[in-house]
Amino acid sequence: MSFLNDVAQIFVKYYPQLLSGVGNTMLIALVGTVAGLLIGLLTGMVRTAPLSKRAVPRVLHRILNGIIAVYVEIFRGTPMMVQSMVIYWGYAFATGGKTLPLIPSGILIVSINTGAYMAEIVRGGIISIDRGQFEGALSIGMSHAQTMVKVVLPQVMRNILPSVSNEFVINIKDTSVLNVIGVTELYYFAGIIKRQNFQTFQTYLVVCVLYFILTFTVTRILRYIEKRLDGKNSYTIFGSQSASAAEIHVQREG
Amino acid sequence: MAEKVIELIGLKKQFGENTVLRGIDLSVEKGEVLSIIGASGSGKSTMLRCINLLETPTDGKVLFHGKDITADDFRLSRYRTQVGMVFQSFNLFNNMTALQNCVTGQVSVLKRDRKAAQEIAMNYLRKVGMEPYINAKPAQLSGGQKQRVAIARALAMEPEVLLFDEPTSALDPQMVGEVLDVMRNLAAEGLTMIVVTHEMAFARDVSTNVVFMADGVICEEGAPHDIFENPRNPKTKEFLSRFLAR
Amino acid sequence: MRRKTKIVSVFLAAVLCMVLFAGCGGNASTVDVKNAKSLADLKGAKIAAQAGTFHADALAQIEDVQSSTLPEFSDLLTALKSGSIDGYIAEEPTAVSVCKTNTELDYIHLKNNDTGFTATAADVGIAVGLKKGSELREKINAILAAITTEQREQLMEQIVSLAAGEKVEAFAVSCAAPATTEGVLKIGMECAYEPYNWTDTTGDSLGAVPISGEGKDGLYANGYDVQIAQYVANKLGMKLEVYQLEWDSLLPAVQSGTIDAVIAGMSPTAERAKEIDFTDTYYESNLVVIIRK
Repeated sequence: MSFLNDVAQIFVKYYPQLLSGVGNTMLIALVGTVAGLLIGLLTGMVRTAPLSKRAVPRVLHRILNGIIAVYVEIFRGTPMMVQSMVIYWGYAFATGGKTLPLIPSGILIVSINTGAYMAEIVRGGIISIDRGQFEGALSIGMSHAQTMVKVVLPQVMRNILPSVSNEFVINIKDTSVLNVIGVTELYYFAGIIKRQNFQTFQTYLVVCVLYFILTFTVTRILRYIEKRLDGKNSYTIFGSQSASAAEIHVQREG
Repeated sequence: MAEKVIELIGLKKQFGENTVLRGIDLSVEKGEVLSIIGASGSGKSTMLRCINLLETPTDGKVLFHGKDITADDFRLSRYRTQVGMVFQSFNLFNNMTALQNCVTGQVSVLKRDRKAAQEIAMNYLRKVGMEPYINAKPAQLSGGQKQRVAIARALAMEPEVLLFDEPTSALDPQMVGEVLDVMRNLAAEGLTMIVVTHEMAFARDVSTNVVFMADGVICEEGAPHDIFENPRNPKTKEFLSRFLAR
Repeated sequence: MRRKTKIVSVFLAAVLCMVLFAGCGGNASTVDVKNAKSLADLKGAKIAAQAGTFHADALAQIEDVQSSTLPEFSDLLTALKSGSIDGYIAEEPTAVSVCKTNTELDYIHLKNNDTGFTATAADVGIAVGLKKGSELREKINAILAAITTEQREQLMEQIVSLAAGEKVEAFAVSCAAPATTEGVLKIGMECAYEPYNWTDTTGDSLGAVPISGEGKDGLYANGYDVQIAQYVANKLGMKLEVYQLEWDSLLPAVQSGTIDAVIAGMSPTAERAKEIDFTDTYYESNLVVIIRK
């Protein structure tokens, strides 16, 4: 069948481009998601931290909270494609023609965009942690920062992991909008290939399959990590009244 | 006269319009086991939470060895390691095992070496009978077991004073005993304890002093047999009769 | 009982969706333009053009057709082949090139100043776009003036052959690269507008220039614009760098100074001339409508 042959030919002839596209897409999505998560964790910690009793730090904290709120609203409320154009060409006009390097600016755009979403996800994760966890930590003398790092954030991380993997999958797909500034991700190469072979449908079908393989694999891997994070379903009771070397394995109920 | 460890002077606490504590004066001496009894809403827990500043007093003073704990230069973090707290709802760290719960504070606050901290933690876990369960997460333990780990966590900081905020109220009846036994042992060892409780038998048999609170004030204070056998304040009488009638 | 309701509602939703799709979808064309000889024969047909181009302006002047636009030029050919449009606006060299590789296609001329279509020859010409006040304008005009009309036509024929995969020995417009270059001439184009400029992944066609920019390794540009750019750069004694940009990014790129010039088959329309300067035209052609035979 000539159609299947066309599709196969696209793989054979353009695999270096497709591979490079896949690589860049994954690089931007992965780094962008991790950086976005870090932004989210930082802003989430700032926004949920108690206001200081002293005047100067309290005012600074309020200002910082305001800046974060504006950042979240703007980047969550505008399309990433538009942001790319504004940032890329804004920089070019501001610097008299210098352009940002493409892959790093792609990563930057995805990071700050993801950060805006993560800020809310992390904030939700933190406020959903029982107050008792904070009080338990304070009662043994832990500072707010120690409480966050040792007690709250590990629990937040586990709770928000499904949302984070969701963001990662969205980012794999949404890097495609970066082609408007010429970032050489997968969708960009689809354009290159299509303009040469004029087989629009076949080309995008190939790219579609590639995107699906990427997102499907990533989803499975992250689900596996989630399971690992939950730890073993059982624990060991050490020793017994009579024989200290004895071990008893206990399964969690349900 | 023994040394005063904790002293409350004119302690007041308001939540908005709602006044919970209306001026509390109280002192706790070294080695004392003070039980605080009273109806729900009488301000017992709020008073206890003011002692380690989980609630900030609206007015009045809390002194620790004569030092005002609300002063700006007071080292709150250090103070909290010296005045431990056991909560009604345990508040164990859900992301850690029983052992880790007892180690993390020692390492991050007291800056103890991890190995030493683990040994100390094991000592106290053994003491509360939870040694076999050191690798269990809180979600895998029963209420009584969780509370015993929580006590071990507080003890591992080697505090001078231990505050108990209704430690058995969230437990199934059959688990109350195991926790009270641990507390009884601690009292026998001479640990200074302030216990907010509804366990009248514990208050009567174990404590050296009993305080009865109602409507944000201390109504009556005295030795257990005085309060329980011969209450003078009518509110105390009414409270105890209601309690014993149940 | 509840399960049954669920199944029925899912089924109803599916039917509703299908009806909606059928209602909204564009219909395949009903006008037969197979034997069209002039614009008049295209009455009622679906004609498309690339958005934001002079082609689209020209299309707007044609009466009695259903006009539409697509953002990318190469998608117009796909649309025509799929049957969703009856024809699209292109320039004659493009039509020659496309019809050479797609034997089922043909084209008809849009005669200027005829049948209500009022473009002048200069409108349909293409020129080099420069930042307002650029010193390069006079220099490039001098270089372009030296190229004869015969040379232009000959170069275009060679480029069309090249695009069809045929071998070309030497271009009609070329000059030896200078021994030493001074400065860089940065040129922007879509690399997606055959035969003016296109992308290839082998770089073995005569005169192919590697595309500059991060991550563009293994991509080459060639075409009429590329050869003109190479010629101009050589004459200026500068090194040529070709940048691939979206059509809508070309103007901001030259305005901001990201590139020095647009050589992208761009017509110097009055609207564009407000934003950037143009040199004299370096090629003039007729607009055509590419259709199925």
